[in-house]
Amino acid sequence: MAKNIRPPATAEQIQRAIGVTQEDREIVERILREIGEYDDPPRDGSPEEEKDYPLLFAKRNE
Amino acid sequence: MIPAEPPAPVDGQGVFLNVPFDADYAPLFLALIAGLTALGRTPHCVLEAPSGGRNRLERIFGLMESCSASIHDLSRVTLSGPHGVPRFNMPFELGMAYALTRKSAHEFFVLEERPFRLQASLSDLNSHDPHIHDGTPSGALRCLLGCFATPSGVPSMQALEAVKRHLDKLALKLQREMRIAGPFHPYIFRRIVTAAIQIARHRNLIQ
Repeated sequence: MAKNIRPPATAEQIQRAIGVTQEDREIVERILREIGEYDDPPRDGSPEEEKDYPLLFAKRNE
Repeated sequence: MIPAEPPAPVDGQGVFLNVPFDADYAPLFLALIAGLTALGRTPHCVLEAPSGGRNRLERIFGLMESCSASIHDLSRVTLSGPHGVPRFNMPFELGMAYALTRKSAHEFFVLEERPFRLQASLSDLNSHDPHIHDGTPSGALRCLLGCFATPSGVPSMQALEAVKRHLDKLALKLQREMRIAGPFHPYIFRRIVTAAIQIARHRNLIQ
């Protein structure tokens, strides 16, 4: 079968599609910080990202 | 007979995962979630649907119908369990996906662990080449790159493996905190997908 080619969904669209809750985000964000995923954050974050990931940006702005 | 429900709206980026829920498969399951999310696809599986209410088949069919594509891993169609019988769920659900392709734009992809085994176990599918993952997470990611793409191309294998590595760490910690042995639980699944989204976005793989 040929490749399935489609424009990628955005993070927001995927979150909405699987019904991510605020609690899910908070738990996952905490664990990602604990395992060091955010140790070297990218520098091109948008205001939209800052709204979604306040802990990540708080750490980045320290 | 349960009356058919009206079809749910199709999520164009939704991909239904019809895969074994056993401990040995967990690393591949995580790889599929990591890879699909990094490709901007929404992984779905039957864990999302509540277990009460409609019967299991209806839930599976409804979820599959709401996705534009599905992945069917037939690598565990072997004799197993106390009765030593083959597990027919995966091929049965593949049949449902085939039926969907006859009435909609749904596409399905078949995964196998070993080459040429599918031709022996399911010769009706001889015109569909399975994607072989060798039973490894990297193999599962390689299969995804063979099945899915975006108009601007695909991320590198290295990028997908990096997402998978971080997702493994998160899943382990999450499972320990929730005292659940594997990722095949509704809450764990949703949070693992949530993490995959954040990791992929953090690495600029998705917007």
